[in-house]
Amino acid sequence: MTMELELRDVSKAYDGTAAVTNVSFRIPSGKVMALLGPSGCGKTTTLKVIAGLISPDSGSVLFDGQDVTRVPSASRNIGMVFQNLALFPNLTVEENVAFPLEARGRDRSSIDLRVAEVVRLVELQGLEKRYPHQLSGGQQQRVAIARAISADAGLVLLDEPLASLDPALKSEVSSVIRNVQRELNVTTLYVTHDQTEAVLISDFLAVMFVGRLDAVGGTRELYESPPTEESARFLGATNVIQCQIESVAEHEVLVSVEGATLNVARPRWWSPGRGAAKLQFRPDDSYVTDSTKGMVRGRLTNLMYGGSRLVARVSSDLGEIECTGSSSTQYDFLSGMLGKEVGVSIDPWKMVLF
Amino acid sequence: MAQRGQGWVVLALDYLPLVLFFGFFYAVPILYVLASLNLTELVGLLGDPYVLRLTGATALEALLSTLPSVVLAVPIAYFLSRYSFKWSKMLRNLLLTPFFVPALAVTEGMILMLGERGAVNQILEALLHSGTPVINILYSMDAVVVAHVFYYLPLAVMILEQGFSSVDQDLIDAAQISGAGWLKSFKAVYLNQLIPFLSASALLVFAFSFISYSTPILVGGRFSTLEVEIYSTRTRSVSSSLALIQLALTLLLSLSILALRDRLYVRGKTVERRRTSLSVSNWQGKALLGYSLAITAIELFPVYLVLAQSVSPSTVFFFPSSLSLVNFANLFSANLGFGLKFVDVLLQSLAIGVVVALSSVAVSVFLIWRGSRDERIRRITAAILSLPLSISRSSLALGIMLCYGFGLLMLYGSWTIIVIGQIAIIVPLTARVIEASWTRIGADVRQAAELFGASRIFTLLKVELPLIAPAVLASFLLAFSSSISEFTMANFFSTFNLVTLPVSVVSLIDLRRMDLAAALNGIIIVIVIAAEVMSSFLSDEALRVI
Repeated sequence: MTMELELRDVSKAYDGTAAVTNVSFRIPSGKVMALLGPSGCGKTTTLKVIAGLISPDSGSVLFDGQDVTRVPSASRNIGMVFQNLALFPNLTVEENVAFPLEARGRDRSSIDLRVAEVVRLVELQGLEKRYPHQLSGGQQQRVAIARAISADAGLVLLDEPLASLDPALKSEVSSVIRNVQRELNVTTLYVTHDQTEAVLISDFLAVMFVGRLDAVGGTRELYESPPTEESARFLGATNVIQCQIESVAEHEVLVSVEGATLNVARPRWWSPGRGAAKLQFRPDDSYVTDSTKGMVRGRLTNLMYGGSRLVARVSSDLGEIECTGSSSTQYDFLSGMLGKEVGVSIDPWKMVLF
Repeated sequence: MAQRGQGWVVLALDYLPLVLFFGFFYAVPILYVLASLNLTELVGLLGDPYVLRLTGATALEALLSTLPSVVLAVPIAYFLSRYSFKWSKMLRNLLLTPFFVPALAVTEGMILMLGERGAVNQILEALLHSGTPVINILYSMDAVVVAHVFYYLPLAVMILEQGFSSVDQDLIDAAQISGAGWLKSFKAVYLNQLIPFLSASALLVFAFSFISYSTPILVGGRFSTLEVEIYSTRTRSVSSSLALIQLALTLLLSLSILALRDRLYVRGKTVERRRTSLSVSNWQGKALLGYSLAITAIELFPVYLVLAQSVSPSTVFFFPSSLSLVNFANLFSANLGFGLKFVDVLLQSLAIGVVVALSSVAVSVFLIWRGSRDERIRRITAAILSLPLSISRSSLALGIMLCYGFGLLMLYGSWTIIVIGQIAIIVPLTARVIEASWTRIGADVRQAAELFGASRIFTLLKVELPLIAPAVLASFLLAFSSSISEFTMANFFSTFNLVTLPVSVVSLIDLRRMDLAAALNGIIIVIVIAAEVMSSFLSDEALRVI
């Protein structure tokens, strides 16, 4: 039942203001793609176009190569978890889960069997007779997931499903989502503004800004070498320093930073060139050391104890650099260096060149 | 080309229920009024001193009713919105009671209060040791004005209380911290916030007084209004001209109210509310409490007089001489017109009430359901259903009489025409209760049902109707209570063997059988209040639309 989803140049505007412009991507059958972007970037509009709840102004939506752009929502065989869940408050857990089956006219015995199966899958046994308001936030989320998959949907859409949950519940429910997806091997589009969630749950990532796709690719590939500065920032790379390109090899690029030279990985999409460039890296891939070591020198301006990980800020001629480190091993050492000259070491193979 | 044609068909089908409803209940009857117009007569009437005097007197009466209603309401609304004390909810409910009691009952209370041997004259005679009545205002415009103030002051309190409640305490604090005195703070914060609410309450009281029907008939004496004249001249061609003038004026009022309501809505949305409750222990609190208690007692007096009269063969100095159900027992043997007995009238009223309530709820659910998937249809439905809010009921009744009573359907003399007339004025109320509940379902729930393959009918039966069931029941009760106490349509279409409870009350008052009228009013009050209380338990919106 699972199917491949493809969007081709989908655009949608509201009152002349573009919400989504020329969005194209493909999710292979049985895979999870996270559609990631800040609030108001067009993620939910894209999702509703796929669901058939709004019509695109142009472009097409294809399920297994078939154009379904004008097919009514009810006939698309998709399940969806809405941002505010949209559970039917007057129906019990099992009635909510049975709703898509009853709406499609399935017979009672097959409905009962399927409901029992899905309730077991999302671990809601014993709660079948309860109403949504009698459940916790996490349990309500499971009901919404169960309802989305009960009618053997070929595609499941999840619209910010964890947005309203606290961190502990987020981890629990995301694990349920991943388990259910693996068990059913259902193609899934997961919309979120949280890069940690997106990276945790997906096989593929699509990053969106102001109605346009900025980057699409495998999750690990995109996380480790994002193709644009905006995507890199959104995926957690907050430090940017200037460099000079000295030479370019097949897999490496030799750059100089503050007079020192180093080899960094050559991005797949990077075209050869010389001159000034930018290097981006995550705080996790750099650490503060004494002033005789490290690639960059600067003054330690701020140090924050953050539980297991500390956060340090260094002001250098290349700009502000944020580093993290282990609180237990480094905090006392760095406390004595606050306001003094320090060095910053950066893992060159984790640096992204633009 | 074919697709465009199909689009028009779909669009026409989408609007069809609304067009049929509006056409049947309002447009066709009004067209009949227009069709029966004598243009020469209309042109002559526009400059006729009689019509000018009538219009002027109606407007003057409405204006005189409005000013005291709003002014007297301001301190109470402020008190109820800002002060907190143990019995505040009870005080509010008691104060608002006259507005939720049928107008006929309050008006009979006025007769018992303001008559030559009425309670006020008894008190004044005792105080002044005078052997003759001290005041003599019954059967004049003054009596109509006093009755309207009694009836509409609670309405003004309700609207103004919302206004005071919407004032953000932070703004008052900010004004005072900035060094503004009490007067400057009041002008800068309260007045700015209150003006739309003051205007809304004044406009509503003015509009309702302008189209008031039973009060001028019962206590106006020789004083008449446009609304009453349309009824009085209903068998003559001049009534169509009067109805057209009244329709134009009341439509203008309705549109002004709608425009102001939108403005109020915007204000309500933009205001961040933070309220602090004040204690009644200081002198201002005590003064406001005393004032509110006094006004509440005065407000309840006419209702008390009717109830006291109903449970006693006579009253001594407005206290029941003895408690007895003799008036109720006498109702069973009384002739309520052309041999009609109380049981006949009660059964006719209840039957009409049930049919009107069922039909109004069905029509409302259908109209709101049709509009629920299309924002454009929803807005047009809401606008059309808001227009009859303060439209002239006499004019509409005249149109229905000309159109369905004698023209198209020949229904005059049948209970069906009362049902049609009452549905026309009750659907705007029931539809608002249902729409408020429907809106709360949320678009996501409907989209979820659609996405999971449910048809519109399946979603209606499985999700929407169960979710709005309390509002549907509340609407039924509201429609039933409105029908039981409705007088304009019932009076227009009652015949010798077709009489409702309010029409009988007026007949009994005309016959000076105040004891029987009070008993009958007592029964109507109990039915109406019980239905309204149950309705308010089921839906927050129910009492607001009254």
